[in-house]
Amino acid sequence: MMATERNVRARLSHTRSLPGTFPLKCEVTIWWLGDRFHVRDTSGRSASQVLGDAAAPEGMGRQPRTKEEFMDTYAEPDGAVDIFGARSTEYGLIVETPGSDKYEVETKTLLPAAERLFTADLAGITAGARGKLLGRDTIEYVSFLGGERGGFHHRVRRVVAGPYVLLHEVTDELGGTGKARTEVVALDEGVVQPADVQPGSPA
Amino acid sequence: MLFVNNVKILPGNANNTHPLTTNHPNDTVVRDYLDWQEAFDHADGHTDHVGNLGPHAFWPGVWLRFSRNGLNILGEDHTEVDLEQVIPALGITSFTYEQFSADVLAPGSFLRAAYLVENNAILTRMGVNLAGNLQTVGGESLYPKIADTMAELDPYFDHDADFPMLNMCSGGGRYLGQPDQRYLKIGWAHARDIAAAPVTAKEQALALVVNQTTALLDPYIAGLPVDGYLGDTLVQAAHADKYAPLLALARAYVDVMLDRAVNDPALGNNEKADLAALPQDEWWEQKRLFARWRNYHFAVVVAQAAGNGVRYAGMGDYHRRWLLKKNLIPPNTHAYDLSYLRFAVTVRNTRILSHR
Repeated sequence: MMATERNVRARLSHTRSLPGTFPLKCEVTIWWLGDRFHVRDTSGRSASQVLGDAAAPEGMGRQPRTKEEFMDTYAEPDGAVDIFGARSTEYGLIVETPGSDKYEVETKTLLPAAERLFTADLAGITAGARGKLLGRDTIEYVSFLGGERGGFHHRVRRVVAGPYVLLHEVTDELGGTGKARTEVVALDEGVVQPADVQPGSPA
Repeated sequence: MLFVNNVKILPGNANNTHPLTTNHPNDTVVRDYLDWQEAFDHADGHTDHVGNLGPHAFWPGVWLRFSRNGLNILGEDHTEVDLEQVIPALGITSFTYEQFSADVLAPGSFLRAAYLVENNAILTRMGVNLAGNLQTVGGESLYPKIADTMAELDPYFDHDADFPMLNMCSGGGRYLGQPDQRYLKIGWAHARDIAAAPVTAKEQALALVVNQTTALLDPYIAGLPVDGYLGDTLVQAAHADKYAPLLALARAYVDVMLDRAVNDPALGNNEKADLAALPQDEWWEQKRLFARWRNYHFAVVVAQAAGNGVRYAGMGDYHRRWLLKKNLIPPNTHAYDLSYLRFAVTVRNTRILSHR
């Protein structure tokens, strides 16, 4: 699918368990219309953490690096982050609540949060088991992140249906208990309206 | 580079009469002032609200501006731009910081000694007088952090729960074992202080545990290095005998802290009642309670700081957002988000000026 032809809304269930953190369970919605996108996360986390779900090199999101950050995960956060952008523009917009703080961020920083819905980097990975998810034929791909030099070794399991990644699961292969899982629970094509990908949208 | 009221000042400008600013138009450092008086005040060292991040900061050279009046709350990402980097950049002398204790740490107490051992380096770097009143720079209470750690360690010490101690080891990109070792050490020190003069029944129960385990635990805990990882020792067979006494310590300490939380004199009745209504049977429920206790303390410290004319309060950005959400930002207080996405706007503004 060409990026300019995209018209899809996906609801994702995202869970993560890391030692020392409260188990995260949240819903993320991604809208694509042509080259415009909108990502909404209602976990109450900061925009940095939301973007880290897709961009952090370990594959398990941004991990706490201070005692205080570990404790914060137990503090029942609430609020929402909306990320708007277009592949053809240099800057997108982040809107955080509470406070309705709005600020521009380079699109290349925002894109991974929206592009996580689509397949990428499958070259050289052997296709695995076939199955069905959301009524679509799927193929499973398994790859690894890190390695000893990276200080971590994570197994990445992706279940792919056509252009879409319907399941993305990362587990610790070195004996730790960390795990992150993102599953598309609803995928609707052709339903996105221009208002859905505009800041201030009622979506 | 020198900008005044959004105008780039060229060498030889007739208004640039201060001997310390005349050379600014000739260098590459961005300085962006509202007016000449602010530029001259900064040159004279009479400001603490503007300046450039230093060469070793996360974003070197970036021009910072906060409010010249009132309290500035800096919500930081602890691993990026933080108060420690901002202090020398702006010449700040008045602040509170999340990492520092806002509690009275009695001279001669085990708790104060352990706290200083673990925090000596950063306190010194941030110019805090170690012999003085440490409480004045404290951004939150130490007790919820210790209590949180003790609750967290419960399933690791408990053979029935059997959480893998590997999670507390160094290597593999792990981190948890480092702060947990730090707060176990501080918690042990606090437990010894309580054991010396127990008052409540729960304190007496803790004292009993301390007295029964001191011979085994004290040499072990005293030997744990600063910034070490708790799991690195506890995975060794030689330390298998530490699990049961550490579990007894953790549970007795948490019991005392649960009492302390719901009776905390620093909190209002509504906050104490709110904490008392929370479930507290499971270790993770206890952690949720301690996390909320911690936030209530933030509100207390920030209100006191604003009332006392403190200029800066550094904290994780999560707490800035929590205060905002709860409408607990005091009057004449200005809250800033320093996390990297938001701060990128500040970085970009500096770059734009540098190319003008």
